[in-house]
Amino acid sequence: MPMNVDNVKSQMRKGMLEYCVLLLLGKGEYYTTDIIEQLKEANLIVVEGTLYPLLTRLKKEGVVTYRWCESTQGPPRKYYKLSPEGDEVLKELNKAWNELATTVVHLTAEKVSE
Amino acid sequence: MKKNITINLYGNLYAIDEDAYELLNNYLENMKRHFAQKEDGEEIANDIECRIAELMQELKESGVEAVNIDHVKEIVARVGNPEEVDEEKAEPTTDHQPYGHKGAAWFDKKVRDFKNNLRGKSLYRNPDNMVLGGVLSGLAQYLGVDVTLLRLLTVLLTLVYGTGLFIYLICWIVIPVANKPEDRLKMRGEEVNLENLTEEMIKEPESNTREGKVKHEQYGCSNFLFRGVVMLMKWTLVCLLSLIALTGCGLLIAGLVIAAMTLFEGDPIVNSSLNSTFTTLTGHSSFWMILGVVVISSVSAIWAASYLIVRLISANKEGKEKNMLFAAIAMLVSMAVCIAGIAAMGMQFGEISKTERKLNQQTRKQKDIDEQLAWLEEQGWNVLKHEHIREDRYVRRGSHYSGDRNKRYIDATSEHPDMDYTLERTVKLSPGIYRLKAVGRTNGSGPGIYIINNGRRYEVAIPNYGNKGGEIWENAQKELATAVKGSPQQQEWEKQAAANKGKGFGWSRVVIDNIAVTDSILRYGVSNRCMSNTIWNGTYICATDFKLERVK
Repeated sequence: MPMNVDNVKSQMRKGMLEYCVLLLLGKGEYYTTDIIEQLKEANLIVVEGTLYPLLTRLKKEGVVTYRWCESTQGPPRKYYKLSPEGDEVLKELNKAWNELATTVVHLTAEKVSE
Repeated sequence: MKKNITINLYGNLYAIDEDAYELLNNYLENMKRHFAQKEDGEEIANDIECRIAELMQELKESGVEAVNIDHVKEIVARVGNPEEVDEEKAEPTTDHQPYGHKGAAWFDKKVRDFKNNLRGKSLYRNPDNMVLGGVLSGLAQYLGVDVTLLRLLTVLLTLVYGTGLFIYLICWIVIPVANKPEDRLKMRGEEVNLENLTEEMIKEPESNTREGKVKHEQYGCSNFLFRGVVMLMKWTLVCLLSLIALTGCGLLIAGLVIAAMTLFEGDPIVNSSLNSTFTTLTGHSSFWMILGVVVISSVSAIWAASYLIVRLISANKEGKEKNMLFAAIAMLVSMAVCIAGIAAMGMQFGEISKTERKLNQQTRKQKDIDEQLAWLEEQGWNVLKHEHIREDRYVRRGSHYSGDRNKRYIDATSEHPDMDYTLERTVKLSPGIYRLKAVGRTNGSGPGIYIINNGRRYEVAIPNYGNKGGEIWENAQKELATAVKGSPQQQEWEKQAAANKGKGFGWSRVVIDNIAVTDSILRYGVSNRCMSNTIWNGTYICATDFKLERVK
């Protein structure tokens, strides 16, 4: 096996996870299970539990906020959304992503042309 | 059929199988414990619990009546183990081997291995492998070493005033027993994840059978007394066996020592000194300690050896190689300890017996001197001078003119030129004419017998024949030619002629005649410096058979 592809992949996913969560919350207010569903679809998380420490940290950093909502069945739910600071962070990240994507596209194109 | 319980999660009730509940509970407990040290860890754990409640709710809505263990496994697989969930968890470390000194690298690797070994492990008492409380097998799991080694060490340490046992008892009380499956995983340093936990839980029922349960309870610290009695009985048996073995060993050793000593020394001192050596030896506490070490190590060697023999004979050796290896090591170590102990005992014995013998020699010498002086006193001799002569030389046996080796005579030997040996008797006599007779021998000039009578001194020299011939011997040779065979006189002469293998010891008769006693007090004596006109130049003087006879 050439080096540790799995390791690199998980690193990439890990890096993307935070950005993707912010992207999602940038679109509106979601509760955790919604986020999980979306991320699972995108293959960004392997186990659901991963999300909780991340959200807790983002909240602590002031990037996101949440409010409690009673649920008709089951436990109460936390609804997350971006804070104003979170909007700023997202903008920054969007910029960074665009640059990165451009670079990646550029590099991939070069390889193809060879 | 499975026992089913109902749990309450955020106000909703869920029916769940008992084993499934166990697993779920373990999982949540683990999660809480894992995040407990982290900031906001409680919140994370609560979020996850919420999520699980949601998933349970989903199951309920989908028509599941009772949550079973497969459901829980599925849930756990979805949500993930604490290690997977924790985003701060360290990446699997690749070995960044620094290119350093080879020896240092080796050492670093050992240290790293040891640290890796400890990582994620907790110290528990091991209920699956216990002799007393499972302390050592737990510690062995924790340190990643073999339990036999630790047990051996503890036993040896116990020999040092019971230190090992003391430490063991403290550990027994302090260290918790790994009763729960997850405890056992942590004890072995295995990851507390779903698969391991399930596996461990499936294993659990085996040890949870009635018998197993009884066993577990028995081994608890609370039942210490019962265990203690059992151990005591076992120990007594061991001690008894050891005693028998030791008696045999001791007799053998003692026999060998006695044999060796008598063989090399052939000295009558040895017997008495050996006796006193044993008495002194058994009075030393260190002797008993070493004896204890020898006993225990020999017993352990015998055990290990018999275990090995049984294993080697029996066909079923599979999986026992490790045990056999350790039995072999234990045997070798025990044998080494045993031999060292015996050697120490031997050295101690040798040391003591040496001093004992010296002591015995001294006392014997003193006894000998006392005996000699007592004999002289009994004979009425006063020792006037005894200078530059060995302190134990007054009287001797061995070279009597009759050849009788047991006859005593006055004797002094010295290489010193200033040697002076003078003995004197004082006698009360009625007036008359007397004659003094004696026999003597010497190897120099100067010795003789003397009389001091009325203030006048008379002296007669002892002829210098050295250690051969002598007038007595010459006379005996002469007389024998004409003697009547079988007469007592003839037998006497025969003995005299045969003395010193027929060569004679150099004895001669000396006589002082015509002693006219008017004063009742008479002094006479013998000395190596008797003759007034001669200088002593020999090395010994002997004399005996003094006889003062009245002639008229």
